[in-house]
Amino acid sequence: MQDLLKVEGLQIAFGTSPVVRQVSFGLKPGETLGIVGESGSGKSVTALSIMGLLSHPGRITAGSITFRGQDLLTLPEDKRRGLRGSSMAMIFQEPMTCLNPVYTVGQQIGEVLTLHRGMDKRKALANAAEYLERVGIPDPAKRLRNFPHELSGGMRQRVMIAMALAGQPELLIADEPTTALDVTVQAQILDLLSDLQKDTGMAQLLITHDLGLVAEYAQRAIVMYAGQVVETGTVQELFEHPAHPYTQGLLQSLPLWGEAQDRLYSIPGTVPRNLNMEGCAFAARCPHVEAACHQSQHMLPVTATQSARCWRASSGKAKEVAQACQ
Amino acid sequence: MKTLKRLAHHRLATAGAIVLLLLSLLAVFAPFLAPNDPADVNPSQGLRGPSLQYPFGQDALGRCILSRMLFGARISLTVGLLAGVISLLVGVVMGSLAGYFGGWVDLLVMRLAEVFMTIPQFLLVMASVAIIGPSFNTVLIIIGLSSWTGYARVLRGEILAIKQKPFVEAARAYGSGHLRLLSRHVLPNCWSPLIVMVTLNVANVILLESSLSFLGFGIQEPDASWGSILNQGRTYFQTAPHIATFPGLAIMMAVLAFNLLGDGMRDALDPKLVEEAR
Repeated sequence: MQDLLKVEGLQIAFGTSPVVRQVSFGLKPGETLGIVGESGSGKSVTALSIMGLLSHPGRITAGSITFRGQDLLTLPEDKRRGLRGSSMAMIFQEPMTCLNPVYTVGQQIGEVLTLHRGMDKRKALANAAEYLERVGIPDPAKRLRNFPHELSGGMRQRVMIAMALAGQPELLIADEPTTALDVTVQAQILDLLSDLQKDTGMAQLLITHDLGLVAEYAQRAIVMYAGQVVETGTVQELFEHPAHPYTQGLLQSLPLWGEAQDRLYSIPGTVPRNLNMEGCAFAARCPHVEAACHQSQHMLPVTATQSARCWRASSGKAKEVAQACQ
Repeated sequence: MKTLKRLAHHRLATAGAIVLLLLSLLAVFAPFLAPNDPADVNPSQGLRGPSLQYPFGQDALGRCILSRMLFGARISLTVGLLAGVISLLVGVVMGSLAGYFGGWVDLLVMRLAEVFMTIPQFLLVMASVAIIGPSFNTVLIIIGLSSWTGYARVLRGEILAIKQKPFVEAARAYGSGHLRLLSRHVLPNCWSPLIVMVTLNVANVILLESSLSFLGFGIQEPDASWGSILNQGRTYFQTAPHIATFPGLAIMMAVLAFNLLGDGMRDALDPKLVEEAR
């Protein structure tokens, strides 16, 4: 199957300092791809650049983004705007502030319908109720007249999802959709997203720093560190035999169910501030650092579907290291 | 419609609206309500106090103050409202350009506003009227064009803050263009301070017009505005206080009514404030 979205060699800089380097991945229709990484690893910036929402001083310095075989970066702005909200939609991290406080929920969902589906206001408002029902909001006809501040965080995120759905997108980018929500609500929202995905066949880009969510809801994932993709593979591969020391470190730092642990593992050090370095960006924090780490690293295949940005990845050493960690 | 309903629940705002409505009705029906001809001069009866025939007394030339005030209300209120609207429109356009687009547009608009603000408004208006020649229209347009800076600055600040809000980015993410973003998502969140400013500004414009009229640059005799009657009365304040008192009270009432209405509108337009008040 052809990729719905293909990002190749994407470079993004804020002014002169790079924040995203050499990011490449593909996304097939109906698939969920997780993007994992800590704060500042370039996940959100990558997502914004796909939507074309990158704002000053951020700009794309190299690479290409292809959506349905169409190069987005050479597309004129008005065409791109036409895609936003209809072919590709995005939901954000802060459901509390992502809805316009001066309009009712119905008006806001209605706006998407008038904008992208050519409905008049009356019809849009009538259809908005249908979308509220689809995202599991009880008594939708009544909720249409509510203002955002009258709803809880989970409800608001559902409304955001309803707005995203209203444009009938083929690609939904969810940028940490549940970070601001309770754990129970979190599960409800993500279950809703995966149900909707089954119904509509849309592809999802799930951006999160929670490995658990990726394991549960994504088929494949990419791990980002310091603006680079350091590892990519199916979720099973990443969890069972991570090849990059960073992924290994992330997995080690998860609490284990049912086991008494004094202290959780943490990766020593912090993310480097200057990304113009030679060699592996993780070298300063890596427990297995060797001379070869200070030369520039490339994505090397581990299996047919997994690859990692570490010279050990294809040499078989990765597995030894991974086993040593467990 | 909902906003109007909420406004109706606001007692002080309703009071303000009623006073303004009454003043407007008085102005509209002045020819029928005025007890005397406002231009009828009786020098022998100059400076007389209130009587049955002249309820608010007579001025230095013996003209009926009540009648002059009724006709003057037309001028005072029209200048106040129209000049207020003109300055609001100019201010909103300038402030939106500066706040929303930023960069060199912002720089240009704000420096222009600062140039306007360095010149005292009254001097600016007076000099302009002196050059163009005093008339109702010139006063209206010049006052309108000279008081946009306050709106522009406040609106720019509001827009700068609102522009950063996630819901604006969310609106961009579902495909809103610049015009839609500005008019539907950014501006509606900026109205509250502007509405309060409008009411203050209308009050201020009424006073500004009065001062101009006093100096002979505004409304020309035999026409009168509240300001010009008030200022005529100043000379005789110790011997005939009624001349200054009645137009003064009228100005105070109008200004107070505008302020109360503005306060109520601010509350009515903000769904959050309404919720808290319940």
